[in-house]
Amino acid sequence: MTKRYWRMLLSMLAIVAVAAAAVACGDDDDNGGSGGSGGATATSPSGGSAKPSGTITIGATQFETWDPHFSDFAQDITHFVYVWRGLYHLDVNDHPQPAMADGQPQVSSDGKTYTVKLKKDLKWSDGQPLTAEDFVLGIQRTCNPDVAGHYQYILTNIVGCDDYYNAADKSAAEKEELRKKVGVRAVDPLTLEVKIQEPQPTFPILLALWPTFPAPKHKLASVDAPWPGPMENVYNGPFMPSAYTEKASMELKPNPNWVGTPVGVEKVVLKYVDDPAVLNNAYRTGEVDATVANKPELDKLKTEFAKELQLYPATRTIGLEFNVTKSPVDKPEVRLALSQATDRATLVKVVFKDANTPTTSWVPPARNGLKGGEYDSILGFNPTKAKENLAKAGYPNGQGFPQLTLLLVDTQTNKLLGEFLQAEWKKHLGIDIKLEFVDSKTRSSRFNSSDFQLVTGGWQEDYPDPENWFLGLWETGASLNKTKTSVPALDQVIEKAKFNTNDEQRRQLYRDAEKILLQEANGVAPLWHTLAAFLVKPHISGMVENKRPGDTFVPGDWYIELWKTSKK
Amino acid sequence: MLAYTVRRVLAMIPLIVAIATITFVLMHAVEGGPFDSDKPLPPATLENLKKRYGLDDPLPVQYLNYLKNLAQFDFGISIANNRNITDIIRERMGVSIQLGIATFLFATVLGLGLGIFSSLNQNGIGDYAGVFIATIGAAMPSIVLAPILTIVFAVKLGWFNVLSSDYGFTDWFRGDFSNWRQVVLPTVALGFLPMAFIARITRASMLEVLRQDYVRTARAKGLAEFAVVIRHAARNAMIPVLTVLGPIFAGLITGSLVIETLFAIPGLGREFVRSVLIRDYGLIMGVTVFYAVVIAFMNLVVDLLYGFADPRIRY
Repeated sequence: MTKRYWRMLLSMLAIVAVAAAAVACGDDDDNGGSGGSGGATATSPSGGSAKPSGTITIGATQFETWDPHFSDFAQDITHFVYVWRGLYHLDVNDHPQPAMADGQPQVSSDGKTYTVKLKKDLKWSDGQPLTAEDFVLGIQRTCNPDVAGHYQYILTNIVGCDDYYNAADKSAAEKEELRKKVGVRAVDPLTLEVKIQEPQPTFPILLALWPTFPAPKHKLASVDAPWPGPMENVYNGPFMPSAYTEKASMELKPNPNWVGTPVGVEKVVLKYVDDPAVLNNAYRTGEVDATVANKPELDKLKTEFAKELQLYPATRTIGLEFNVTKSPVDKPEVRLALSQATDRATLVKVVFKDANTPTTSWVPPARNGLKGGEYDSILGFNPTKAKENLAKAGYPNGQGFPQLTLLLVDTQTNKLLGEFLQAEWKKHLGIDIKLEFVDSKTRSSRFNSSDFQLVTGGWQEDYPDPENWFLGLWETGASLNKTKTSVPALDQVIEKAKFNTNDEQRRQLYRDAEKILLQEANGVAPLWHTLAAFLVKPHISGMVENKRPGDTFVPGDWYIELWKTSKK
Repeated sequence: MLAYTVRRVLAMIPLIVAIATITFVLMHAVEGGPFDSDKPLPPATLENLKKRYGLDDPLPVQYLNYLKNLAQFDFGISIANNRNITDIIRERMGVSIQLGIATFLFATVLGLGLGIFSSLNQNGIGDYAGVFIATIGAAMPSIVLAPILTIVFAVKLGWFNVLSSDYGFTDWFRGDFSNWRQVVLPTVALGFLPMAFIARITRASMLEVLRQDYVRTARAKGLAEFAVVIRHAARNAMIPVLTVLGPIFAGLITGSLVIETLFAIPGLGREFVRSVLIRDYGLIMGVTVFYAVVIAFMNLVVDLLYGFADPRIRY
């Protein structure tokens, strides 16, 4: 008998070993984890209301949760905007345009009360009326501590939202009291009123994002009720699920009660595939009509699909992120030296085959009205300056330079990246840095607990405004400030900009903030903005990128109603 | 034999508790948790999430809660998608079992055939051909074979599909064979290695058995060659083969990460690896315990099957 136990245990160990080996393969880090927003309802270019026809099949990623008031995954959010819409929807220029709302919001003279009229006779996909109460419930769900929504922090300015969200340990009765105090109410079925604490110029944008999407009151018994799955839920967006198999595929059909631009296709099929290389083969055989392009293959795709490959700048910036409390990167000269000893153009060519755009800016140029290149003279490639700075820091020619470890997620691309930086800094600065490769959760855990000296990392925009690149990220002690950046001048500028109702002044203040942030690489030295790469068959039209491409699966994820196909 | 079976089944209980314990400890010893994401979450959100999933309790309490729920066959809720883990395993398992069974049949039939054929033509052309195929199979893991098959047979020749998201045979029993273009490549890519393995073991085992006295006796008394090979030689040669078939079967039906990923099949292997990568604690525990039960059970089945292959074995 004992022998048999051993055999069973050995089989188990073998399984564990196989699993461990598989885990060690790691995942690709560059395909986005969180964030993403934006998009727009442009008015239909053709404007016609022809009968929807044809099917478009696209490559997609399985969503994690179906709950817009909970999730922060890019692939989840992409699904949400296919099937739900908020009061507003962002147009091509990122301005919120009425979706469920009838016109722009009325703002009180103190800027703290928003009143929004809904369009008349709105209905959910099951024919039940969609009212202001549903929007109240949606916002309350995002503020609900028991839902634990990841994006609650963008609604923190709504009166009472934080109090409710921070009441996880309180009794049910107390939570109920706090829920009622959240500053959102239905004046009547067609009128929603939202009270905020400080006038916030970007607030209408938030009314276009998933944390404020409506929740069907007739489907949810209370604010704590579980959110129904794809086939049980009801929808107010252009499409709705008609079939769904987890990890395999979802089929979408037009929502009969959709009130926006009439949809162009009869059916959209999402195929859930983990590996972009596999998706590209499926694109070659015509099993999918549009998909992300597999970036490591970009060179090949450029010739193979010269006309079908589309590249767009994504609102994502990656750079060297320094823990400014750890030696040696606590010294500004060391940070500047590392940045100036990095040839970004060659890096992007060698490591990414030009699938990204080299930069020295934190905020992508599209977002802050600058041309880009403003910080090249401070952070850009300049070996002479780099050497000078290192000498100024007390390490002439790299002598006596302390141990410095660059922490990276274990992927093929990051191996190249790490080795490139290592060689670059050896060559120009005479220093030897150590590379540490870990899996993505370990990297996040170290970063989130500020247990690192140097990482590559950055930011993916949540919503299209420069404030999203600063608030909570760079102020002293801010909740997402893991580089421990602390610059009093920066704190002051951000504070001044935060609730500034003079839009031009506000934008100028964020441009000033970027300058203060970057002049000594206080926490970050940007290296590149990512490019989004897609393959789209010629028979498809209407897949349009907006100025804030947050697209995850195909171009124009935020305008599914505009997609058309000429294929029968 | 019944008493033996009952004893073995009861013995699985401590085994499973031990495996659950080891997994629990290892899982929490690994750095990084389910809520460590690329984009850090604000502290208030982290607190609420931990509370929502019961991760704010001290670890020993979480452990005892887990065992308590396990005793009631309740695996809990997945942190990643808020779904019941039992539902997830059941859905994923269905596809993996179908892929496993189809692959097992492919590997066994071809493997046995090839092995017996080789042994009967020892050192002949047929034998070399068989050994050559078996060596290729052993040398080429599915992660290499799958993309080659895809590029040749799907992209270039267009015979089969790249994506096999509708893999399965349940429709076939209703006369709907529309997914035939999706089932061939994954089955072959996954089955090649076990096929080669089975062929090699069968060949070796057959060569040994064919030299036994009783085979010579069978031939001497004038039995047809078919009866000699199949009834007398092959049956006895099966014992070492059976030993490997059990674990191969268990391995195949519990899902293959590589094949499921490369052909976009919604199976359990993909789910298991992903659960580890994203630190979905409940799902890691659920799938590990489930695998433990399947493997322990398959070992038991193999031990019982020995009795049929060799009547001298008694329990």
